[in-house]
Amino acid sequence: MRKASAVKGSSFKGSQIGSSKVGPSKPVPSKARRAKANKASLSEAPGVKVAAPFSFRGAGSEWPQLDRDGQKGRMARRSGETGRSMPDAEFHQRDRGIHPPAHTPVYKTSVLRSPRIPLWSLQNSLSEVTGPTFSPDELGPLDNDLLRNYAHDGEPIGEQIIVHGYVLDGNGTPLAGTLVEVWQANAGGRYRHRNDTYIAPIDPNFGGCGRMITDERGYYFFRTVKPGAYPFRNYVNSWRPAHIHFSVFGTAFVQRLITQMYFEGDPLIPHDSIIATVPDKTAAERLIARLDLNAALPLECLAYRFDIVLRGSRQTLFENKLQGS
Amino acid sequence: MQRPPFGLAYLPETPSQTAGPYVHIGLIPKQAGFDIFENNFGGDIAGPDVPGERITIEGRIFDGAGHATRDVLVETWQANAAGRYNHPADSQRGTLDKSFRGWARTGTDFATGVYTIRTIKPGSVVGRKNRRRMAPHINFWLASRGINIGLATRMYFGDEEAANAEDPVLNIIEQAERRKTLVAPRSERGGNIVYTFDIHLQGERETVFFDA
Repeated sequence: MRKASAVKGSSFKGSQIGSSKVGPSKPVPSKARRAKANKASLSEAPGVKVAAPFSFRGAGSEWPQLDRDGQKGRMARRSGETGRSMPDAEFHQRDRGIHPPAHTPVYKTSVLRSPRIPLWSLQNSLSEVTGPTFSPDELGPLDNDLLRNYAHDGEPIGEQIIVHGYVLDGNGTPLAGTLVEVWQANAGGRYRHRNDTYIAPIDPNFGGCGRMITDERGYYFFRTVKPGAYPFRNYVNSWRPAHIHFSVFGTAFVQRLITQMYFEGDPLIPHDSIIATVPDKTAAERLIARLDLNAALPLECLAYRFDIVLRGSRQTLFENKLQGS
Repeated sequence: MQRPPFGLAYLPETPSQTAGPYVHIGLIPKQAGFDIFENNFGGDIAGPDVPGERITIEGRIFDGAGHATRDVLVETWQANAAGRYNHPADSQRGTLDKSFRGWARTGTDFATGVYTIRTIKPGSVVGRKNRRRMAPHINFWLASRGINIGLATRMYFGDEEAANAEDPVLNIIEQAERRKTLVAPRSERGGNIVYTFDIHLQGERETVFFDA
């Protein structure tokens, strides 16, 4: 976050979502209060009603995984000699049919940046099933409030919105404590980036990035302004629909995902070359956040719901002990 | 929207989308040209007390026209010097050092195209099903404009010839010449150990990428 002195008004508490304007008369919160607010902001925003996440254990997740020849016992004994090394969880093979392939001429930049030799398939080892973990202490209290985390002398221009949802894995298990990072253009479609030269002005009170860690139910939320559409150099007159970029980790490096969230009803969506890289139309539709009137704050702001699913895994059973559950 | 706990009701993964040209804003905002977070993730990841040999990894990432890209996000994930990952799934016997996360994030430079990571050299990691130890390696993940779905590869160490020759992952690559695309030569510069790991997204020297 920005230095506290640079942020006018109270820090973003869940209970204050959209309920009061940023005002210079409000005191700068103490460090302790900010820490408390941070804790509050990492849980669900009161007033934001949400449906329960999926909570079933996926099929197969409770079954022992035998070695190819069914030699669970021998494997367990052998692993006891050197320390257990078989991954607790191996990840389901990625369904490449729902992802854009590397080479998509409709998105011209991909042509020279796409490997042409098939990827080598690699069965999971520890190097694949592990990945970085993050702690809420590493984030600042305003990191998930894009309305305030770069505010200098007022609020950012634009329509204020809440974006919220769950991060789950393919088994429907909520991914708790995972880092979600977001970035976006301002309401005029301009990024705060030295390489963006679009004519729309920079908003002095809008940075355009935020980050949060999901709670124990895999829930995240943040507050921002709705980004604007902007043109880009693909075809002569190519425009990106309004979108927010998401980066998500999960528990393993093979779950790492970067994607983009779009807004329901945007007329540019059918014309976009980036969404068009996704071969499966129903998969592409899952990138479109739905207007969530139940989570909208009356007389304050609208809300959009965007759930994210990372790859699922199957658990392995060792020495009569179910691991990783 | 509850689903019953039976059947094959898996949820499909959210599709990937390119990180775009402005990935720096969200993930490495200082490179985008502004300062917003108090605590930033970066590419210099081994504190002074972390055991292990200090190394610098640097390189460029070339597109299919041989041009060094200048906007690619680079993330790495590695074990510590004892070969242990800082993650609950790793129960190897090596010493866990909680102060070393093992994850780095940086970008290729807007002017030179060079990325730089400062870390420690990892130890060897026990391989899949205990069959063979894997040679020391660092897992790489790339995302950028024009990359529709993050690309995963591994960097091995040029001074580990014997271990590399036995590595179970390098050995599944049928064409021995292509294994070389994953091995970074070691050199010394101003008293620092430097491994040069250039990545070719496409072309004659296309790097081996993995689908794990």
